[in-house]
Amino acid sequence: MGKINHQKISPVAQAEKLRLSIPDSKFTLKSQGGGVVWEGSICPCAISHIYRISIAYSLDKRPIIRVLSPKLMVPEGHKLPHVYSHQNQEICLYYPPAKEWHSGMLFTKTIVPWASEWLYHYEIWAATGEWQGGGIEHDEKKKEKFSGLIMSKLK
Amino acid sequence: MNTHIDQEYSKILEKIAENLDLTPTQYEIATRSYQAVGGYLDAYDSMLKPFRPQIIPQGSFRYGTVTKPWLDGEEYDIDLTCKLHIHESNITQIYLKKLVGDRLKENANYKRMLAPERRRCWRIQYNEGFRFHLDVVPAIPDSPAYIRQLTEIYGVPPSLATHALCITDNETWHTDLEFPKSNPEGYAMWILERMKVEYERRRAILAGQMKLSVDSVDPFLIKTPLQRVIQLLKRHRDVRYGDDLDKPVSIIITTLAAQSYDNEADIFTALRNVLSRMERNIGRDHAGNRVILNPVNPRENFADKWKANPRREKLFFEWLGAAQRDFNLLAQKRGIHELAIPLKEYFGDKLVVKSLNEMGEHMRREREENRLFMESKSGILTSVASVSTVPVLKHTNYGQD
Repeated sequence: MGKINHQKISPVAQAEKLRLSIPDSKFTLKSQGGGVVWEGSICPCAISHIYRISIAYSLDKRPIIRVLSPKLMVPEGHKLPHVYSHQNQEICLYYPPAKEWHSGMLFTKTIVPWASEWLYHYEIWAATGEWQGGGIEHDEKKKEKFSGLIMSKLK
Repeated sequence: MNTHIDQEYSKILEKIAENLDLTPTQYEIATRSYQAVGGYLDAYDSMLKPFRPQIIPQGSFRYGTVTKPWLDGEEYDIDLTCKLHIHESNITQIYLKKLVGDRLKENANYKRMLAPERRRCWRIQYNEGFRFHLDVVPAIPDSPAYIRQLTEIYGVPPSLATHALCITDNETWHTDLEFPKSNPEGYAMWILERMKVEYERRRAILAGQMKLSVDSVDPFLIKTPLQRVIQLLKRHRDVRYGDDLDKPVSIIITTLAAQSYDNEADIFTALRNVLSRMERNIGRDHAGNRVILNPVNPRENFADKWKANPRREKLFFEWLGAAQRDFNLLAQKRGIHELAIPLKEYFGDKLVVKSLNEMGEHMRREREENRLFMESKSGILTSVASVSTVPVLKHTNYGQD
């Protein structure tokens, strides 16, 4: 990232921009390190659920995007695609090596639209069992290990 | 009702109905097949040639409400009228049926493809590629006197009554000398009339998009909410009643839906309006029997079998009530995945999964081609950019780290 020449946007500036853009949203400052946690609601289409999401962000770290509510539904025999953490409903929206997002980009123009799109595809996936949103799959070894982990957690 | 919400339901219902329809390839194959039959019956060396045979597609294929078969082993059926210009007094039902059948049997292919003789038609079976059959109904024009009666006594518009036909019936032709009556062309024109506003509006839009004159737009491409509603209701009926012989018949569903349609532009609105109005279009005769008149021949009651078989009447009203409840319930569902549960129940699992996957695929393509935007305040995704939207930029969903 260091080599890319862009103006970094501070976590507080990101959060304030989110707060102004999305009604009924708020953010809190983390007690240390100048990080923020923003929370707001989005709805990918008029008949979708309204999802409460949060973005936790500290400078020079990757933003952590979570779906706070409702609890995401996972059809039997499937596992939630494109997530960092099942349990925390933490979703992955970009492929870091491709530098699709960097700290000079506003969340309101990147993370939030991507999250909304992810949620749309999640609803389709929860209905059909097939992910239509595209993305990069993990190598099979990791996948197996991961699903094994989930299974043990569910037990 | 919030119109945005109705439009979203309608998008899903439209997709489901589209998947119930013939595919463009199937439509092309069926069209080429019936045109070939027409060309053969009307060939210069055809014994029918002197009677100027006209092969005209009829029924759901003609007015665009074909619905994918639900049960295994069922296939698409396409009705064709083979109209010969012969005066009623110069021919009998038996001879008319034989005339058309003999010509078909002169061709080795058609002879091989002919199914055993049917009650009112000759059935040509197509098993290659996609399975369907063409039902060729031999017919002659009805008499001017009868057509006058239809217009003057029964008030059928002359433009529709003029297409009245005499057909054949091998179950009654030995006992009943009179030809059975039919008017599929008039009926098709009546359906088109009932949805004319939406039909023409959509045709004009398509013509603009395709840079064609309105007359050059293939009618197959134009689908009004009425046509979609009829397809959805027929499927809802099929899933509910399967092979039950007493299930509501398509001609009753189609007629009542067309009578109840008020050129609504939105499918979900049309669907619920049609269901709420259907019963009003069922009358009663002096004896209290239910009456659903054929709009192009009010001497025919589509519900005449209900009297002898009350279970048919019972199932019709049971179905209507269920459809009303089912589609009102749909309006209360939020979340595509939650909506999918009743949708699968009403229309079948495979069809709903295929339709929703196609919608997801479409959404992904829109984004890949930079045509996807998001309303900044709400998160709602749209293909229409405005001052209140931001583009959804390229990104790659990634997995567990």
